[in-house]
Amino acid sequence: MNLNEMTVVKTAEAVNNQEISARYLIERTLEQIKNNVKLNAFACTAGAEAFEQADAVDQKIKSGYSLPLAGIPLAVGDNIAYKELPTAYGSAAFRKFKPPFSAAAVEKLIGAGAVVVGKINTGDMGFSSHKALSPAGPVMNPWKENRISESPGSAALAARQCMLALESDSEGSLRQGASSCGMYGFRPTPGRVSRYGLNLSSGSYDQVGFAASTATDMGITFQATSGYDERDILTSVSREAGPKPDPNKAPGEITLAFSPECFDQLDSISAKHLKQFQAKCLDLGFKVVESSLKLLPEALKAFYIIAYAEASSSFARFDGIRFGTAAEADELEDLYYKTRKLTFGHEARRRSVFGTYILSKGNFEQYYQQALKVWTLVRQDFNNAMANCDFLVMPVVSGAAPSGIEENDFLQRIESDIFTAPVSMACLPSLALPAWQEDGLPAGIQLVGHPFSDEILLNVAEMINTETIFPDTDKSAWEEG
Amino acid sequence: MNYEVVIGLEVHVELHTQSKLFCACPNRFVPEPNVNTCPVCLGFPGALPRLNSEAVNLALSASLALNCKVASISYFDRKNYFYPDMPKGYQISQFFEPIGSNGFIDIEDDSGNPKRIRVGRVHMEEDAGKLVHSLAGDMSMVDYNRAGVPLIEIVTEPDLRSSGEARKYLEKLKSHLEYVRVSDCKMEEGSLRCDANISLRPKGSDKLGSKTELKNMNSFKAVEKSLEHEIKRQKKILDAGNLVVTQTLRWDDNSQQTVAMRGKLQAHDYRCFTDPELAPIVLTEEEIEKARVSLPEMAEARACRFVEEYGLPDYDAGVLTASRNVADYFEECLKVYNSPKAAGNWIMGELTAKLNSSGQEIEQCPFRPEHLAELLKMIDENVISGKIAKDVLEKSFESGKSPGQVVSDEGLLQISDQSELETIVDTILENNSDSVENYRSGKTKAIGFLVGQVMKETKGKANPQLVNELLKDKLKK
Amino acid sequence: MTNTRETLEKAIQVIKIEIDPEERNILHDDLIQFLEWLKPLKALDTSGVTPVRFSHVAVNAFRDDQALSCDLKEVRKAAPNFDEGFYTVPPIIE
Ligand SMILES: [Zn+2]
Repeated sequence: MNLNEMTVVKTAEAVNNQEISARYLIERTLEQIKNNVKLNAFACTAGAEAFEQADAVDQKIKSGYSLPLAGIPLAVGDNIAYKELPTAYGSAAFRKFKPPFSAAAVEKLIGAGAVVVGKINTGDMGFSSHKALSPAGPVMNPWKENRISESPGSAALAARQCMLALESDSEGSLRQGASSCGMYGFRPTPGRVSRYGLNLSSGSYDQVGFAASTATDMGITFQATSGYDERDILTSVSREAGPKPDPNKAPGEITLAFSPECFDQLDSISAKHLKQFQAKCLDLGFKVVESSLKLLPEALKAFYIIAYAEASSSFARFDGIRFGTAAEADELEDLYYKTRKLTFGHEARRRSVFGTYILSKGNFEQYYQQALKVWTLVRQDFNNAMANCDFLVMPVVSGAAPSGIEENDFLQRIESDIFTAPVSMACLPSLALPAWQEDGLPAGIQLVGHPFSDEILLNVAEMINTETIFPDTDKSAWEEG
Repeated sequence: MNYEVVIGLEVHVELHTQSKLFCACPNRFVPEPNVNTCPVCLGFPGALPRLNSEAVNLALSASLALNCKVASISYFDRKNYFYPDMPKGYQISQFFEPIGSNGFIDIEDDSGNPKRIRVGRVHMEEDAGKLVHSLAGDMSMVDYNRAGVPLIEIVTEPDLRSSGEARKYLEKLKSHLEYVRVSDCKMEEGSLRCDANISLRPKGSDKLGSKTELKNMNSFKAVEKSLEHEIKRQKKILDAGNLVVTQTLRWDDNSQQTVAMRGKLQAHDYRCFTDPELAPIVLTEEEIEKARVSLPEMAEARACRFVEEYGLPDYDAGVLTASRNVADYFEECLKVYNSPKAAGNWIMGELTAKLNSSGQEIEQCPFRPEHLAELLKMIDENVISGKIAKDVLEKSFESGKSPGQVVSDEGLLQISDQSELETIVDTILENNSDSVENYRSGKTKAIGFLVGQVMKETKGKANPQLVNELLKDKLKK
Repeated sequence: MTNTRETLEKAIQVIKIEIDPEERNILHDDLIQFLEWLKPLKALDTSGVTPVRFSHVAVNAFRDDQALSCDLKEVRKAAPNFDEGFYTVPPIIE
């Protein structure tokens, strides 16, 4: 058995058939994390509790159970609560913080047999590592020196330091990182997967999502985590599950739309690749049409106004009174100022301050209220674009994986979200899947579906069936096995 | 100069629910701090608010009871400010679209003329925690038991013109809210809190003067007193030609005056926006209509009906309907006992006295309406005298036994046996020849003394009517 | 001081984070850039457009009114300053 392929489906099958043990998988994974520490993908790794979990899985299987994610090494975003390990929320002040509860999605994955191998090193207060430096430094891209990954979970996945990652997606970091690491990154329709336990910066846009290495793996993961959770009451829309994929549906019955405006926003190399991908879709038998998306630049601006405003409010709870670390202070004001300085890095400070600026008297109408109106127009824009198709095919980013080392201004980093943030704003499910390689770096496209079409979307991704390639590494704990 | 007083009231009422507004923590008082808390009401990262459906129902009932227009769609908003009693750094409230708006309450003004007080808005919000300051002054302590307790805020337009009107409005408001079972409205326990905005302007002017805000008034009496105090204070300032400073004042019960508040932010820029974690509340016309139809008969209508249907005097009807529980008790009693006047008298008299002295609520006291009916029937049927009945009520109230049980256990049956009473009457007449003489010589009042003696001899159990008849009969001879 | 700078300084005060002068300057420069970037959005004609009020399709997402006490052992452990049942903060004069 070649564990280097490492799909969830095959591995879980092997564990369920007792060909390998969950314990063995966790040992290999932890070793593989050690092999490539300079990737910096993990904020902390699991110890005894992971082996306990793995042994429990092995025990269950011996007593006749079969688990969909048996023994699968899982990495969990550090802005997602997991009570067995420190959950730092990407804050230096929370390095040793253990939350009193675990996120719903973590519980469900563990229930399905997955084993948490560590917490992923997220950016400042959980913001995309592309925009916000983590207190522990940037997460590197395993494909190329001096490149970073917007999604640390995808980096870990590509480096085979886990088989599945649970992360959040707001402006699109999960999809972007999956794309630049050659992996699958999925942002489900809001309400399909419980957000309980995710430290929300923007209630409007933050979602729980996954990085996996195949569409089939993603499907199993989604099945294991989606559905009604009473602790996130907005999942009540999941009481009626979305339409199930029709197994007999041929590509010819599915219409994919490409938007000319997306091509306009791309650099020439990426545009060329996207054209080739379009041709591939035709070859595969899909119906391909054109759909116009007129408001991407405006959507991006409105997105950031709202995201900043919400972040400034959501992170007000970090006051050093009920949880976390409190600064030494003789006066109440001091407690606030100093604790919040300890807690937030530069990006969280920026978002808090800009958000406050946007919401303050005089600015509220011209920025915030205007952004809410533009949001309505953005929804209409996407509704129109999707009226004559089943799925939109959009780029994820223009150009290659970003470099986190050189200084680039924050507006440039915001601009790189032009294809992903508007999709979040439109409340649509979106899957980034590997599409091409350029200069030794992979890139993906986004498959964007109608609301609640998640299952069908993942099914279509299987039909597209692009091959997942892993980067070469000097040393792999898996080859020894 | 002659001034016109302009008062607007903001009343916070605690909703009578089992659990808090956005989490399952119990909504009830406990002396221990931070017991009714959880990650949601403590504002932990990753914990999500979950709206209590009953709180929405109660807010809807309250809005309808106050004659408000109900919003077909309303949202929750975040009011952002820092204070240790506010766990998330924002209060969840309905800032932009309250569930109820444009309502009113009718009261009587100080001269007894009808007056309509406009209710501008009724909205839901969560309560804050409580700060306690250490005696040593080295720290403050926070108790989050109240954080997240469901409230409605009821805001009047500046329509009140005197402290008396303010009190009448509050009484009416309390009655309305009790009637729809939205809250128990106990001001002393903090389930009804009142803030007032008050300003004075020259009579005839339609421009508002600069206002002060009064907080921390913990009883209806305190509201009236502090408003009066503040009216006098502002008058003095204006008479001296000075301007009233806009500020927040607190009523100090000990010194019986208003004092300026320090500490908390005075001028607010709350930076409000709609909470992205809470779905909108959508109410259809049918749902609103259904709630309207199921509202109970309110105090005023009920009082009118009591006058018409039961022939009660206006005053009695007013007293009996002031509280829904009392009115319910009364009508429950009438189901098995058909003398409204007597039932009313006993409720307003003996029963109320007993409730007051024992500190119990009518709906919880062991003396149930059917007990009262039984007691009154025994009086009517001469089983016991009215005087004995008072003792029976007392004993029944304390023991929970039915009045019939009390009467038989204590041997309190009325003596209506003619021969038995005749023997006693004869003895009394023999032993009180003076009184007999007096009566016969025309001082007919002396019979009262003789009746008393018989009652004393029988420990009150003698049928008074029969005693009277026997005495008169024998004294004629 | 410019209007933007003044509002920015006020925002820093309102949001209660200690930020050193150098970073304030960076934030100011970034804010100027950001506001410039937002200009086309401000100029967009949105007259007659109803603002979005909620991102999600869910409405009336309610919970039944049932009380449940929470196990507070782990919750209290998370507090930096907890004393005799109270969360404690520096003294406040009200
Ligand atoms: Zn709670």
